[in-house]
Amino acid sequence: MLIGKRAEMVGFFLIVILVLAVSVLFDLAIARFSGSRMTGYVVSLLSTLLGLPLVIIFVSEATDIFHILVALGFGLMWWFIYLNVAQAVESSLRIRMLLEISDNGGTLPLEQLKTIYSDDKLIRLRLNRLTQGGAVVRENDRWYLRSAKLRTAAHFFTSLKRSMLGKGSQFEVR
Amino acid sequence: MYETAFYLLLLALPLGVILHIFVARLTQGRRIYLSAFLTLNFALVVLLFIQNIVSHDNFPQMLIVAALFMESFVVVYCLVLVGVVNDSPTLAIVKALMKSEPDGLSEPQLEDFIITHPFVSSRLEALDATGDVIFDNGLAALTARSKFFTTVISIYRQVIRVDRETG
Repeated sequence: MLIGKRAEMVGFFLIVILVLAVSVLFDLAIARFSGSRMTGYVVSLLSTLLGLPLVIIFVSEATDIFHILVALGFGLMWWFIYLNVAQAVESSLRIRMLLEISDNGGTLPLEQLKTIYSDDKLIRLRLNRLTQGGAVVRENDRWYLRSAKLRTAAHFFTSLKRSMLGKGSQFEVR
Repeated sequence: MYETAFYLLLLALPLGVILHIFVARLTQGRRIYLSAFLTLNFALVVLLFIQNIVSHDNFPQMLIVAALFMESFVVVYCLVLVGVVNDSPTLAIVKALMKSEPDGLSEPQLEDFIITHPFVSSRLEALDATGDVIFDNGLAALTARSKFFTTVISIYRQVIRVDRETG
């Protein structure tokens, strides 16, 4: 009885891991062959979201909705962790600096690093990306925000930061 | 078993998050990741204790599922916290644009913003604090750990053929 329950639990986690592994492979294959990161992320999310309940129903023959919900909770959390790791590896400023030092043989003069990654260059590049994407418009040498999604995200993170840290920005002096 | 675990986690997750918001506020964000780990697990332990008094059915199995679920949630929660604690350059620009409304952000205001938001220095300090880079005699050097990570990351980037931009 106890062994049966243990085996069922091991099977449960194996299914979650296998479905997630397939989703990650989909993402990597799409990224490599189509060059579209967003498509890869969406396909991997959908394959986790739809694949997990289907595999659980057909393989472990579970009809308990709570069994499926808990498995989905695990699947989505682990997918989110994968997404964050992938995005950090692909676009994090810290990772890029590490790669820059690595490309130079493991050491790099600090001044050279600061020239490559200056605040001015970084902020203007991000602002240009926002302008090109239509989230920001430039009129009469002034920039205006046009994206409602970014406005909502800014409100959300600022409220969360204020409620937890008592300040609205990392650079705000209390 | 999964039904009990589901309802237990449904209570433990919001309870742990609310508790952590209070703790983070009280400690002004000091050791925020450690306090997240402790408060979320504390919420789970309290509820598991109450649940164990009520029923002993499948308790060891439920304990494993609930504990693994909570530790996964702690990782997810800490990843969200990274975005809360550290300002993302894009989000900071959006906030500056919102602050400049309705007149819009002018070039001198943008220059002021750049001076008051030293993202590059803050990231360099973070790399130093985590021990990923050593700064010595004006040189930035990778440590054995970061050398290993950059090798793994380079392989991953080659697999997905991602191009590097400096910003």
